[in-house]
Amino acid sequence: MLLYDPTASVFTFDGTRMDLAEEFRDNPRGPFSADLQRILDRMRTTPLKGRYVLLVIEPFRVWQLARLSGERGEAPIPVDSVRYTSAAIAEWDIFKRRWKDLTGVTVTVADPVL
Amino acid sequence: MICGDMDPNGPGQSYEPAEWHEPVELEVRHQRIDAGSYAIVDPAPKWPENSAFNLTINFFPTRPGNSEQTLVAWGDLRLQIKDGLLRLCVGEICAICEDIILPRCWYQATVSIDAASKVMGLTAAMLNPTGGVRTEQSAQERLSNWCVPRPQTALLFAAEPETVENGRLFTRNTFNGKLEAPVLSDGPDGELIAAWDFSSGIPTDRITDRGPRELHGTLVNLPMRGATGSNWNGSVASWRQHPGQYGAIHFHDDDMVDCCWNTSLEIQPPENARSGYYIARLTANGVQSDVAFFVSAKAGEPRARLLFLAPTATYLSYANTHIKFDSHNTENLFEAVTQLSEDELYLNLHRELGLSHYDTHSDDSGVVYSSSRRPMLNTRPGLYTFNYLNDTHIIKWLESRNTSYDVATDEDLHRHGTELLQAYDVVMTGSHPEYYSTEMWDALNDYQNEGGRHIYLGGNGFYWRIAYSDTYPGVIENRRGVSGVRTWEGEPGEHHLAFSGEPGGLWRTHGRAPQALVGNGFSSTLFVKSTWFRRSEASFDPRYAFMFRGINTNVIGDFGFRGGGCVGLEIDRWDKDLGSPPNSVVLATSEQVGQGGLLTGEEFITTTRALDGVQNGRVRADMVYFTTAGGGAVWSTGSIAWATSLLWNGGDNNVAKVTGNVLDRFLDPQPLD
Repeated sequence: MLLYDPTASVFTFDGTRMDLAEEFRDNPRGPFSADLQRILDRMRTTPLKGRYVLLVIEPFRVWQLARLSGERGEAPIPVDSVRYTSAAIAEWDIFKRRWKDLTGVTVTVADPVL
Repeated sequence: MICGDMDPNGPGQSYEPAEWHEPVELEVRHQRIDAGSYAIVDPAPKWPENSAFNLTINFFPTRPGNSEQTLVAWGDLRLQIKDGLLRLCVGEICAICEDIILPRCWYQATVSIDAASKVMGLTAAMLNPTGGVRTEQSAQERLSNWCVPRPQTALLFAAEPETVENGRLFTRNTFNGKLEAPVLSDGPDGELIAAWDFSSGIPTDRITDRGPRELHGTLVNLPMRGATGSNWNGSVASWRQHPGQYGAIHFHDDDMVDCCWNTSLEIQPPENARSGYYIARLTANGVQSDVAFFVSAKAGEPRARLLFLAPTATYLSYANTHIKFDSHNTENLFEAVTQLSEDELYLNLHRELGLSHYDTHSDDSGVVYSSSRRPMLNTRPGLYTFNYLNDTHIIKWLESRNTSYDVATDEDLHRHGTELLQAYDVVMTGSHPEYYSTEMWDALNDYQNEGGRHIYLGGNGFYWRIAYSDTYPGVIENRRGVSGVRTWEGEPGEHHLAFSGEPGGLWRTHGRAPQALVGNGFSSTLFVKSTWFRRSEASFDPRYAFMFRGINTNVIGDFGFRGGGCVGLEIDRWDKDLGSPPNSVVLATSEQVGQGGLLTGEEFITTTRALDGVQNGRVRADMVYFTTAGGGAVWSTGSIAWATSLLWNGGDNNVAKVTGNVLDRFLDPQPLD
């Protein structure tokens, strides 16, 4: 049987490519350059255990950052008290967190003006 | 319910109280759900007179971890796997085999009990030995005391009794995996007591005893039948072809087909109630919870000339999906960070509410049954908009233009077939009528060919073959097979439906691509950003002028509530080689689908990187029209997001205009070119 392999997502990228972070900030729904698309594909296939998700606190208004437990029937684990009042800001913040997690490099480009 | 979409930037929720129902106050109590499938033989076999017996059973464990899983429970006897080891327990005394039981390997367990000499023995033999593993292991223990099963004690396979509450049995320690061919005899070479043959009655909930006492049993919570047995050798692919190779039943600890709750409230719509989408709105201590239901038009008793077919098989297939928690590719598919609503968070914690066809069981095997006899938390007003809520955009649009319509469900279509459809001049299918039984397909096809007019307002329709069952009303079966966009892959030899014996999987793989029914068929997913249609040159033929009356632009639907366009989510294309009728015409084709459009697996054969809308011309939607031999007509939009663009700008838009033009013309009895 064909099962999920959490180690199958193997793409690595240069964490200093701030031009690509900037590209995502400015155009978060694409279309993306090939280099950025690969980074997003990598980010979106991180292992289920620990994957960032958003808990809807108030529909369409407030979201809480959390990580999936990776275990069936176990609740996602909230990340501190990180809350967002915009899904777009949440998407950008999670992009930055994943960039740091995957490359060790902090995204230094300015946040979007929304 | 007119529209249940809660989005403040959406078309607006809309409900009308049913005047035939007064609010009532109820006292309710918590009612448990007993998830996990098992077989029960009740009354159980009688205790052998010489107090000795042998039991053999084949088993294929799929999740033999640390938890306690019971293969056989009979009185104080338990045949179990615990801590990965096979063991036989009588009361507190256990004989435990030494070697770890391997997942997904066939074993035969042999149990022998001799109460006279007070010895119990257990053997486990691998039926298909694998490298590096001892093929046989055994254990023995002395019985200090043997408790004869009470006559009223049932024999259970794949679980053991926990309690009985108000006459209802609750179970625990469900076994995950397949069981096959249990045989009970009076001593090692003694007289046969019972021999259950699971290859008999595969479409039913009955298990048959071939022994002299006919100790037949019943299955609870719908474990998967038509499962390959220990002797399956790949020479056949279907249980109907060779039932003897399908003598196994696959049990799961999260199978759940019916909550079996006592009724708290019964709602009886009066004879003259309008057919349609309804919810029962429950409130308690500030909590609100909606229960969706349908009032169907009676077959043969139309009250309108238009029938909207609520795709309830699709709703059921997706009911209570857990893919956001369990399926690795979900975020990549939707290309945005996953948001989890309160209902979804609840479903994750409460697996006893049952799974969807998109889920896998706790042992990673695919879910093939979905039941409506349980709460369905994503089939009601809420944040999960796919299918059910998207379809209410169509309902609201019909209401907004004062079009008279009846509503019937997929199960009505399955049961009543053309008798239901032929009473209507026009039949409309929804945004995503993805799951079709043979009976449903045949009825719609006959309706079209006998002069009926069909408006298909969606995408990825008529895609998976399903089956209903008379044994299990309200339940559908789906086998995923090895093709199509799917969240799990079917196991070899297990692609045939147990309910009907038909091959499961994509209709396309059985000679009925959706193109043959509606002119277009699934090509791609497009979840990132929707796009629009551009009219084809062919669409300017005077024969099709009625569709575009009042339209001043060649671009249609560059707006909408899902991704900003009418071409999005899942899209279909025309293809004469897959069965689009010779006289079918592509009226419009999508533009600029872009890299967000991704080709479905069955649309390419060799590996390639050219799978997106930038590089691959098959990643597109085609709007198709054709007339049928019998004077019928079919108009197919080929995109889920078409339905969610109808109400844009208060319904004043060219998607609504085209749809209205087609609907009005289809309702006009004048023949169509």
